[in-house]
Amino acid sequence: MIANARFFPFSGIVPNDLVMLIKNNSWKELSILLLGFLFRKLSFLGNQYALYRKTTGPYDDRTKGPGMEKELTKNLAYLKDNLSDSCDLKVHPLEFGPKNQWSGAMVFIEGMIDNGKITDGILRPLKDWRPESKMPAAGDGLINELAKKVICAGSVKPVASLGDIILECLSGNTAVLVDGCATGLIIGTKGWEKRSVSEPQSETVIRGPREGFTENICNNTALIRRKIRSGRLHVENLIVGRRSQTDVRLMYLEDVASHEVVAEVKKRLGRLDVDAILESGYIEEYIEDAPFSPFSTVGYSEKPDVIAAQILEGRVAILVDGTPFVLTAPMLFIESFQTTEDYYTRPLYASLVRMLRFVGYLISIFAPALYIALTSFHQEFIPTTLLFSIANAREGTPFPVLLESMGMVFAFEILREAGIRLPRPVGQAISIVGALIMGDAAVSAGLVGAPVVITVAITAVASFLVPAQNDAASVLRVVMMVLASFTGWYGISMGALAVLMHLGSLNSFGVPYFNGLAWTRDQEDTIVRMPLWFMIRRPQGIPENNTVRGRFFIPVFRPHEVLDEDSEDEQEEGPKERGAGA
Amino acid sequence: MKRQWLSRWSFLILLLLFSLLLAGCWDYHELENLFIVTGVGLDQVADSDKEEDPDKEANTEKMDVTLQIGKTQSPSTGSSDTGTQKSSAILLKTAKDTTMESIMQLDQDSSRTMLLHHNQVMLLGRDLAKSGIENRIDAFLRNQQMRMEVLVMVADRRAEDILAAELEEEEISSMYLYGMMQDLYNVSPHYKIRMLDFVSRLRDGTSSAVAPIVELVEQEDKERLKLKGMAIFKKDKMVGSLSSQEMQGYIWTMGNVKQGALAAQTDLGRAVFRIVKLEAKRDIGLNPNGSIRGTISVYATLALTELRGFSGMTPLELMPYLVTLSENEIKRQIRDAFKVAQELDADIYRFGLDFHRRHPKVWKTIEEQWDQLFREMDLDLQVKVKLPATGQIAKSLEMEEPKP
Repeated sequence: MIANARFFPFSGIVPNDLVMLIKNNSWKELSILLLGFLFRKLSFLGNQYALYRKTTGPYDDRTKGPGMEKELTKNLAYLKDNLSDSCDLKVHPLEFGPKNQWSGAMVFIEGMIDNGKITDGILRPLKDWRPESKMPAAGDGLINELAKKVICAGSVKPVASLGDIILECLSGNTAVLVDGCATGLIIGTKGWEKRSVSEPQSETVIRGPREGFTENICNNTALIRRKIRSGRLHVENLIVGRRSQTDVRLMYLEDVASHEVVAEVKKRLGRLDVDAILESGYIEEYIEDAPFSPFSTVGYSEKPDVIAAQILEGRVAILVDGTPFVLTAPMLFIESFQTTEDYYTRPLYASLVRMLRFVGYLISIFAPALYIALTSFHQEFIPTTLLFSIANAREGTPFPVLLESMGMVFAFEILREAGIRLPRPVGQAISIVGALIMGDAAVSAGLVGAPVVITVAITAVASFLVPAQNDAASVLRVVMMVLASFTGWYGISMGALAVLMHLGSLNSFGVPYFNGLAWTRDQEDTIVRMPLWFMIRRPQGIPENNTVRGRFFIPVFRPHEVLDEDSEDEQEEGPKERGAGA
Repeated sequence: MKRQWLSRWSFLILLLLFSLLLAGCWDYHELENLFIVTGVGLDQVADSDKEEDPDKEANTEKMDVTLQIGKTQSPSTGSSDTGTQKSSAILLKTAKDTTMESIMQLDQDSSRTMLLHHNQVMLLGRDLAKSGIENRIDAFLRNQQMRMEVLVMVADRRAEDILAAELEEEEISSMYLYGMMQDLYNVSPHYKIRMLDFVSRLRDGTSSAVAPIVELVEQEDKERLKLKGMAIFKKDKMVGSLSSQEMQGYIWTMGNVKQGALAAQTDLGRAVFRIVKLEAKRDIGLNPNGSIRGTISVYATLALTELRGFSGMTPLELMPYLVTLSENEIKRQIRDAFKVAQELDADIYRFGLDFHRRHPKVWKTIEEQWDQLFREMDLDLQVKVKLPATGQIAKSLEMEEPKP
């Protein structure tokens, strides 16, 4: 029996018990047993998660490595050994000094260094070097002399640990080792092929800056710095990932951002114990508040102006080397509905578009569900003429309405996914074929009704209005459709209520996720976008200090008229005086 | 202890799941499994049926129930054979004691379920209306599927003929009737009699219900539906009708008219007016001698739309003349309608209700004899017409130039 239990996939449920229960027809006990098993698994996961949340303290796996030896050959042997004798590890032997009496070696990784810097900064100065006074002895004195007087590079620092040398070489720096010295020099020679700053593909704008982040973290930091030239803009470097040793930078305004949020972000980043960080999505998944929620609680953007605006509102930006996507925390639900262009166009139109986005978001979640509910439960809701046209279209279609609309939604998701991954010319072909087959052929073949195609089409188009919430909407859409097919409008309203409750309970780094949409006076930038001179406060709850952006003032309406009045007054005063004199 | 707690939770989750799964799909109906009922006709059992089955004669409770169902056609098949397409309405007919029994029978016999929510019109056959309908319309009030907004109309002959009418304008005759009443509703809300209005008149005791009469006319091999006055009900039995002209008089008495036309004929010529606005104020009181006095003041704004004759009159003379002319015409039509109502003892104007509201104490003493009081009631009619303009031209071609 015990052996059975081990091989049976449901640990804890012994099959003999099961057989007995089924034989005895005790369904209640059986269901309790099965559900109890499910419940235990879930609570196990929950406990693990709680345990994970409790762990604190940074994880540091960097091997310090042994100290350097005096003999160059030993050091080089260690380096070769610990860089797995890779072929792109270059060891360049050097001989320098007036009589070439010192021998050394230059160690770097091919392709990660700038050849010009090595030639002009290391090789040429060493070759030309003639010590002015007496020869320094081999040892720390020589290394100091080299660092201070000889090497021409922006960043030169002595190093004594072989582990550090390996790390620096892997980051693209060059190590200069001298025979007889127990310290070496690390010279900053980073330089590799990189993409230049270009317009981001995912967030295009009509009006607004066209530059986007690149894969280079130094560039990205500079792009943000260029937007906020403030001394209080704090940049902090962390290294995450056991093997990838990825640079991760936090950027925030010291005098605005909430210290609790900063501490929380640092804490969560600190407890990361992962192999590699290849994209900011890795970080997002590890630090977000609600991993099982369809809603994301960490924002991201590819544009420096967006990130700068977020930092100015008091958020913390998390830059990750190797990706153009920068994370921001905390994130509010309303952020998904705000685009940069809202602030670059005039407020009236921006507010209109903002409202359109809300409507579009609701459509993208509820439209197919409403169609199902109305046509299969609440026919009395539909105007008679419309009912007849829908009924005419439904006539002769083979599937129930749920299956029909599920199929269309599924087909749309297929087309979208296919269109994204393919190169642009092929993607166009896909969309043409998809539109023709789905829109026309399926209807004329009598497989689906035209109203379903229309509903799914408007849903699809509406979902592009709020791209940041697209994945959440795709999931919720299907859930709502199933609920609607079960219990009609009642199901939809229950589902909507559940989603609202969930949204209301979400938190992002200690800030309520629904801030701005909740019943507060913080509505300046929610349903409508108020004029910039009206929005003098940063959003509530996010910044800690300096919550006011600037002085409130109303720009002068019709400035030219005011000027005219002034000049008229002056003119009027003149004749009056003259009249009085006469 | 923990195990018990676990099992309790598990059972709760199970209950929640069951509540979703078992209560789900309660009212689930796919559209292609529904018959959308657009009209219901109630008729007395046809004579031909009685001859076939003598037993039926004994049972006077039976009535013919006709359901008109909008036919749904898939667009692909519909486009291919538009030539052979005959009618887009299906008629189902059966004779049972009550409406619901008939509908259930039809439901059973057909391949689809009846959807009654979209019923546009309830047509009463003339004979059935005359024999009394109080015991026929219970289903329309009690059943949730039957809306109180459904139109009540009386067919000039048999309701099923109206439902079967093949019209040029609209494929489904009850949709046509609905459109017609909606159009008249824009003239005056009192044209459109919904089940709600109809029943509230039946309920308040002294008022008489009215319902428009539809007539099927054949013109050059084409069938047309026409509005032929209004049926007047005394209690629940149809006792008479107003002609088209008298119906207009009735509508004007009720006031709140926003459109319409008025033609007046004299020896001098004929004038046609358009009603811009017509309001009626009603007052009712008791004369010292115990009779009832009703006052109706009609305020109308008219626009002149057509003139014929009136030669020899200048515009200045003509306008006051036209005002009195139109006033008299309105008076005449209102009085005509009132006379018909008085002859039938049918208080279609709801004067009784007005009186009840104004003099609740007196009402208790006279409620019993209201019919007689109504028959002998004096109508004090005052009509004030405003005719602000002559239209685009001041004088017609027949009229002579004003002398300078």
